[in-house]
Amino acid sequence: MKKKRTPGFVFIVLLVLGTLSGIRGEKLLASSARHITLTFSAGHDPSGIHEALIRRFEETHPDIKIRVLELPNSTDGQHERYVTALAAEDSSLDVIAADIIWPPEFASAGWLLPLDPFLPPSEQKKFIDGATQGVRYKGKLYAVPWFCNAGLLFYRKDLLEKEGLSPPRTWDDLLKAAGLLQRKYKIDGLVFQAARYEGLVCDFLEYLWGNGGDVFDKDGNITIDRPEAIEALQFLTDLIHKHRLTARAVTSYQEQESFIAFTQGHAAFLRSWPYVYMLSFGKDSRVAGKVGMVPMVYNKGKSAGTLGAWNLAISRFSKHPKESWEFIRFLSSHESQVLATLKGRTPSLKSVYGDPRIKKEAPYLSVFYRTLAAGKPRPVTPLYPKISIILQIQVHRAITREISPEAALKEAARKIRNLYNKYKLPVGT
Amino acid sequence: MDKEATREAKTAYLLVAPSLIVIGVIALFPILRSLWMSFYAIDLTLPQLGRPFVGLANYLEIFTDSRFWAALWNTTYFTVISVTLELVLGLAIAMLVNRPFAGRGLLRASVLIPWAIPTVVSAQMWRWIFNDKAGILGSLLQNFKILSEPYPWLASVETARLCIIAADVWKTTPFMVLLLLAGLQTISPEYYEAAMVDGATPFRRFLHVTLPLLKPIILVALLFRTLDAFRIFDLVYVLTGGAFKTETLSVLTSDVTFKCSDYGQGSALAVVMFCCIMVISFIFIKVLGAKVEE
Amino acid sequence: MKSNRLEKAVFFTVLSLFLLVILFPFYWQFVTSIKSDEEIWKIPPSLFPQVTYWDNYVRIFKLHNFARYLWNSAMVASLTTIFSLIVGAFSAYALAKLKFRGKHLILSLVLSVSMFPPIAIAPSLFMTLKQMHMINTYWALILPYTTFALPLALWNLTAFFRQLPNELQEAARVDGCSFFQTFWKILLPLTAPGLFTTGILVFIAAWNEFLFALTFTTEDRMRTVPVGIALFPGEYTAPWGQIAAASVVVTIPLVLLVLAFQRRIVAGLTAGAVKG
Repeated sequence: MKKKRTPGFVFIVLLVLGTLSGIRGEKLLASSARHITLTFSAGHDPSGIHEALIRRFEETHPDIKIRVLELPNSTDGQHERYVTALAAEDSSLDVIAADIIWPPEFASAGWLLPLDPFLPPSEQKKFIDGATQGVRYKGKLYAVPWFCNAGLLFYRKDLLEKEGLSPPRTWDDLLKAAGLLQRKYKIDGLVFQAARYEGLVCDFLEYLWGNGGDVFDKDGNITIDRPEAIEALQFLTDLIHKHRLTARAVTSYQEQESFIAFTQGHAAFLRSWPYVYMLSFGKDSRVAGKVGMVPMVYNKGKSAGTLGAWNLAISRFSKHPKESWEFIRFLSSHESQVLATLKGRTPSLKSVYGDPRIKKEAPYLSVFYRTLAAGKPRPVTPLYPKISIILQIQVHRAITREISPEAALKEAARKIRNLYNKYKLPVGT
Repeated sequence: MDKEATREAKTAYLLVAPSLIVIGVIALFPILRSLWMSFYAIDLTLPQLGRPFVGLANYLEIFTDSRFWAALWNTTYFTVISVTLELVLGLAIAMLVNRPFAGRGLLRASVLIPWAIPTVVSAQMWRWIFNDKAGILGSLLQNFKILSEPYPWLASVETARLCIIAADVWKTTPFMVLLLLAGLQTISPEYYEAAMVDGATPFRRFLHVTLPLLKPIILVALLFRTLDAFRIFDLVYVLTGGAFKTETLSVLTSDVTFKCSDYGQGSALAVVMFCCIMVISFIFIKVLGAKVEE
Repeated sequence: MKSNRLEKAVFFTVLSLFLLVILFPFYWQFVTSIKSDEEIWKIPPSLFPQVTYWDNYVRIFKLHNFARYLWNSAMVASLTTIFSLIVGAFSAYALAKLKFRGKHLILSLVLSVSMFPPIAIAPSLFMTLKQMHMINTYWALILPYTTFALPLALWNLTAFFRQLPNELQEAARVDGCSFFQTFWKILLPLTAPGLFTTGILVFIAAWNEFLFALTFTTEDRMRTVPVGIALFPGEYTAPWGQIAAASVVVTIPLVLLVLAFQRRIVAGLTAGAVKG
């Protein structure tokens, strides 16, 4: 009877041996290799740009290999991943592709290397100003901007021309033009991102800035409940409910839904990011060649698009900071950016916009440059992710008419104040 | 004989040990740890602040936050409405099909499918059906002249929660039907015959024969469905992300913990949710007398 | 006679309506999956695709790691099934056939697990798994799934063990088998149908789980199918055709499973609630 146990025993022995040999094998590999392996973590890149650039880098740097750690598409998902890995001082991350809103948070936690020793101020000036401003914390630079975005207003060139209208510059222009096109062509006047998520905050901030408001002032006061802010939120709410210029489901739209509504020809105006322009020429688009773009509309303030940017940062727990910097320098170089720009990215180096190849192949970039130059980063504070959640919820409550814009922003201000009290930090930092 | 009994007990303890270990490590320990963490301020993104003991501050913050109360209400609303609908529909359909007819096997197989596929997948299906532009629901209703223009199903407070309830009812009513059908089949026809002899109307037969005999099953089914509905996460996550007054306790807890990295408050929410579940189970088992153990 | 026919008509009408509501979403998903990108957004949507277009099925494997997701799901679900059956059968045998103190306590403990809200455990379990370096491994999913499948496994298997006559065990004992041998060699083979039924249910539950899979795997290569599909939409695009195609692909094995084993599944599902 006892002999029958053998198979189970053998299985366990094999398992243990297998595991041990696996471990040994890995060690052997590591010791025999003379090159260094860097981990580059970023979201899924269907364009193939990352791959192409990495290949070039490895050709010129035979002693460095790049391992790509592919993270989920959603920015929230990536953020969670970094927070948990870095909080555990995970040394397996080297170069991180970071959304513009993370570096202050990560830097305050001590998770990123300051990059000023690598990149002197004279070099920093070569990048778009708002982008470097967003990744600075307490005066130090924690990431290098790679690709930039700023909110833009897209419009149906064909329809506007037919009606003899010029592209809108102010809130009133937008109301008139969108209203006219909506009535005449039986399409929605305007679509944008108004679901309860980060995109709503980006969109709202543009109206806030365009009306001369902001979340904080320079002296560390919360200004999100000031009259100009309430007026901005009132305008956003009125667009949806009073003027009824938007798709009825706009309060559930993220980038994808608003993009589809616009490129399927269901909307006259769209507030979105630069990518829309390139993709509007796609196979399934019904508006190819009929799309124009202008900087975001404004009222009492200045036109300002929310800056979005992917930046390159080095984890403080990386064992190869020098090589990581080498890789970042390569990725953010003029040549690399030209290459990526030709494949549809929007560069962060000012010089790329003047490059003759770009001027020839991508003339539309001049509009992007103007909006990027006037673009503003979202509040630069380690508490931004938490502030954003508060704004998402309260702004969404207002635009779905659960509460008035005034009540929503008063509530937001109260919660932001509580947040700073809870963490015992000076307001606005 | 005593030795025999000891050996028997010893084997028994050895055999149940693996179960107890997994349950201890994966279920009990985390709950106790949540309880412990709920008294501390733990924020992963602010390690410089340390992890100070804050007493009941996390709980205080929860109970003074309207967002929590809204989530509690939404969860309760969703649970009560969908479980009631599932029970009523399930009972009606079970009684209807509790008879031999051609194609019963087919019926059984088809009702199992909604139950068998991942909720996230069925949520995506429904999200597409409810799409404001190309959604088939709006289009069909327009065809039948019930609607004059597309309706934003998932973008209005009035309908968003109904959409979630509909998707949940669609997925779990079949399960209810199967459960109740199995129960109905254990009721001996003699009871009905006796009731017929007494001249009971169909409604009275249902009230006095079917319901009392089915009560134990209904209670168990209700208990498990209620607990399940109370924990709802997937459907809300996919369909609305918690907007339009559909945020449930699970969604709120996940938001606070993972999006805001506030593990202290997230743990406190987890503990509160756990207590709610205990209360529900207590009501069902002790007050209503649901028999969940043999 | 007339009322009988009327009744029959009502019966089949209601039944067809019920079936229509249940099955229509699947039909719609399938139709969407074979529509071209242009046709998907056509308004009003067409109930039958004008041209069949299979590209979405190719794309889910080319543009996403869908094959990898399927593999992960299959691995996690199979291993969970095996573990739950082993652990569950051990305890079920003890609970059904052996005399020892604390049975009631163990039963209530196991039962209480089925009432745990997963999200209440997720944050602190995440930290535990993190400390054990299990995040982004199959173990991060298999262990919690096994735990949460235990109530179901125990419940079903205990019922099966109870049905076996006590004389079998006594005879084996007289022949000199230890309790463990009796269980392993004599009783366990007899519960094969029970193991099978329970296995199917556990497999389906593990295949479908979302919350833990979303929380405990953070790398793309470790995602399971439900999480993969939920995260299909890119930063900027909503590939409904691909989501539909992916849904069809995951639904097919489940439909086959259900068609083949419907009786067993129903028996397993109702075993706990219906006695006799």
